[in-house]
Amino acid sequence: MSDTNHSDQATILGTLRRVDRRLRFNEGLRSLTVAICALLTLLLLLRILGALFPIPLPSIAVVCGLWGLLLAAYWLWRSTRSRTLGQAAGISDRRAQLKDELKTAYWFIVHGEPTPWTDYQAGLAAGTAARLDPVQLVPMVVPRGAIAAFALAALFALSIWAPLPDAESIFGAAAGLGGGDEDPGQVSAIEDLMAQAAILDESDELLEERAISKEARERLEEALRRLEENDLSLEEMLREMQEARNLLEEGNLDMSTLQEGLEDLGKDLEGSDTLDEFADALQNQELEEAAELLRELAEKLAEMDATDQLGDLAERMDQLAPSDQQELEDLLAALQEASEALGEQDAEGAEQALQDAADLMEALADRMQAQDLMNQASQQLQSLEQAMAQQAMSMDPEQLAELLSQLQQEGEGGEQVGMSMASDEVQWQGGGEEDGDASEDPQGGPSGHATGDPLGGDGKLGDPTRLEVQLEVEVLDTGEEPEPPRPENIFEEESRQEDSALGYREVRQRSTFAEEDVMNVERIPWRYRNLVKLYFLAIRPRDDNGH
Amino acid sequence: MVTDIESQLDIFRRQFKRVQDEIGKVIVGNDEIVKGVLISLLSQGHVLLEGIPGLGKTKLVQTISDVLHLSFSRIQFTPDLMPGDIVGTYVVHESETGEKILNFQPGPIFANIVLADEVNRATPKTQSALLEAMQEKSVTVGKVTHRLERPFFVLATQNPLEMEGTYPLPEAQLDRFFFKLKITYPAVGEMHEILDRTTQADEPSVERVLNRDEILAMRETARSVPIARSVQEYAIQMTMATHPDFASAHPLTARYVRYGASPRATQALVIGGKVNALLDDRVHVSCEDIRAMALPALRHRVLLNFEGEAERVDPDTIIEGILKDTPEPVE
Repeated sequence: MSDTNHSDQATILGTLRRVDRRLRFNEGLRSLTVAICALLTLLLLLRILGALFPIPLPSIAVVCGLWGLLLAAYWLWRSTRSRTLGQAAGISDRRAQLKDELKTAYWFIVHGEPTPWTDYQAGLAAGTAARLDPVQLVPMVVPRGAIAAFALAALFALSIWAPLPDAESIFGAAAGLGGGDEDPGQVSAIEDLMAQAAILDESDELLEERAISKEARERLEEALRRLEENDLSLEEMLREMQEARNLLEEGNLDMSTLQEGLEDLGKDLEGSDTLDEFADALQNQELEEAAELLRELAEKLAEMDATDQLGDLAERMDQLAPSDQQELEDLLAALQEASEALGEQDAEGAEQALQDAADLMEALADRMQAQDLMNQASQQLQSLEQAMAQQAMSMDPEQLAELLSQLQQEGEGGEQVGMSMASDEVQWQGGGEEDGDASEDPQGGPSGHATGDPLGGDGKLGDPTRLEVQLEVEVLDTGEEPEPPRPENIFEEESRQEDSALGYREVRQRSTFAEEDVMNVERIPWRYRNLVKLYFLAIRPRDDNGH
Repeated sequence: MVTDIESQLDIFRRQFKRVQDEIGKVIVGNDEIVKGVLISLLSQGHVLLEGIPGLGKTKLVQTISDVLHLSFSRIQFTPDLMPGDIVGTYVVHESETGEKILNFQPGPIFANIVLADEVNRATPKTQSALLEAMQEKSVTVGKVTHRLERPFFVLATQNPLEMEGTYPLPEAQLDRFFFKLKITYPAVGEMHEILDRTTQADEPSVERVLNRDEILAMRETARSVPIARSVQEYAIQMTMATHPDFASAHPLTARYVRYGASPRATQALVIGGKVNALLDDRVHVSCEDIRAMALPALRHRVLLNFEGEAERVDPDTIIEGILKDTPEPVE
């Protein structure tokens, strides 16, 4: 091969390499734009989703990691697709309208055996290649995706500087736009909310009866009234409920410590004939019964043996360990006073001290019951808060106010019935240990109250279960034999033989199955059937009359 | 060597131009037809000219024969024409000694340029007499095979098949035609020119400008043009797209075509493309050359199915669809 041919080849390949580099650059730019667009879209999506639903940081990290992996895989895939100079030659031919001149020359440089004609063609192609300007041939092109990338970047920056509206306002607006359309999910939310509000209503009644946390109740009533007048947003309502719950939880008794103290007191008093029942009642947390027993003991003091029984009683009461609990301290002080009086043989003083102790115990029982109710109310308020916060997304504030006013009306109109049923439900659904004390309410039905956990831990209120049993009809075996057929119902007749009126004859089919199959095969397109029919009609054999 | 090639190219283009100019003295318009006929001649192919009577098909062939310094014979195909009338036959001769011997009397097929006028008016049997001559460039009569002189160039004319008294050419013979060129009605301006030339006292005449050796040299030059594999691949793709059973079949092909083009079609695309490239001052074949050859090389090789025949689909429509939808190779 001559030097001229070598130089021709070098010229062609040099031009093609420069074209190829510029093509790769443009392609890289395009890929980069796509990657940036994808990244910005992802970030924007995460930002919007984060405003609507809080996304935990690990989830964001996982999504970003997956995106990174996908991007890396894409780049790997692109890099494996190596572009050949032949493609650059093809693109150069097309853009410079060379009619496959460079492509042909490159193919013969790489593959073909050189002939005078191919060398001559390569020489011509080299001249053309030398005249080509790769910069003009493949100019740097800003990809169209760059506009989208800029737009996405601007949107993302805007989303950072201008905070996005939160989920509540977005869904609130959406609900407002939704108008009066009945949504099954919304109906369900309202029903749930009604159930929670009914419990709240009941709790309020109980609180009123017990005169507990009047301030909290008044606060809630005020909030409901304002909500009814559309003067209160859902957010404010939730805040009011939180405040009410805080009020309910203020000054709470430490129930577990108190119960432990009572149990210890009962154990200390164990072993005495006189105080055994009292000690048992204390250990079982039956404070009202214990108070009653203490009163009985006070009345029996005068009848007791001064030396043995009273001395034993005084000794046991004297040994009572002091308690850190303020509520128990008064009780212990009264019992101590009784002990001292007994030690001084002062029966009247001891009786009075025991009566005081019984009063204190009753008061303590009442406080513990009230605390229990407050705990229930607080728990229910919390549940309602959560339910409202969750369901408020699909609920119009006006609808909520309407619902609450409806609840209030129901509470006023059918208070007695409602309370009675609510009490029943609480007692029915309570899965834990119950220590109820039901009494007849003179104004209404039975308004029992429960001291156990009415919800049974994490139980949920619902309709009472109804047991419906349908008995299956059974056939009893009486041992009777089935009756034999009666003689008058039995007919006996000889069987008769008759010949058919029609004789046998050979019937031939008009066509065999094979012929029928052939006739059923349709190879003529439907649109030409009429044409074929006309053709065969035209060539059919005719009779003398031409028919 | 470069100088040789350049001189060959120069001679090729100059002589082609001279022939075109001479033909143009008689034939008005139809430049593409003339070019197609000359491309076929230089590609060692035969041409089938189709057009209604009176459009100058025969005149064109006669003019070409006048321009080329070659032997010429004309066969007027009629229904009663027999194969022996074309290829020749043995006749009894009486020698000087009085002995009677059988001598082969060559038929009109023994010429450099054969005009098979109205070829579709003869029966298929007679038409088939051309088969061996067109492909093998030889004629077998009895047990003797007679070589035909090179160049052997058959120019057949035919009327559209719809006309009365015509027989369709057998597929095998159709395939042996390098190009099928359709002569259309001349435009108004061309009609004026035709009238001016043919209704005056002096009718134009042509000179013989190309002899046998020059034609053979031009053929050799045309075959030397290199073609890249990708361009060749494009020609193959075009051919394969006419086959309804292939995966790369065009939708129109799948619907209307019974049989696609044969490898002869691809040969025609490539060799014709080479001549076309030379005429376009190039020494390499491009996809554009292949596209330019597609219609004349493929239209008679695409056989329509029943639906295509019934709907009177023009094969040109199918080929144009293929041309439109077959992408050029990237590299």
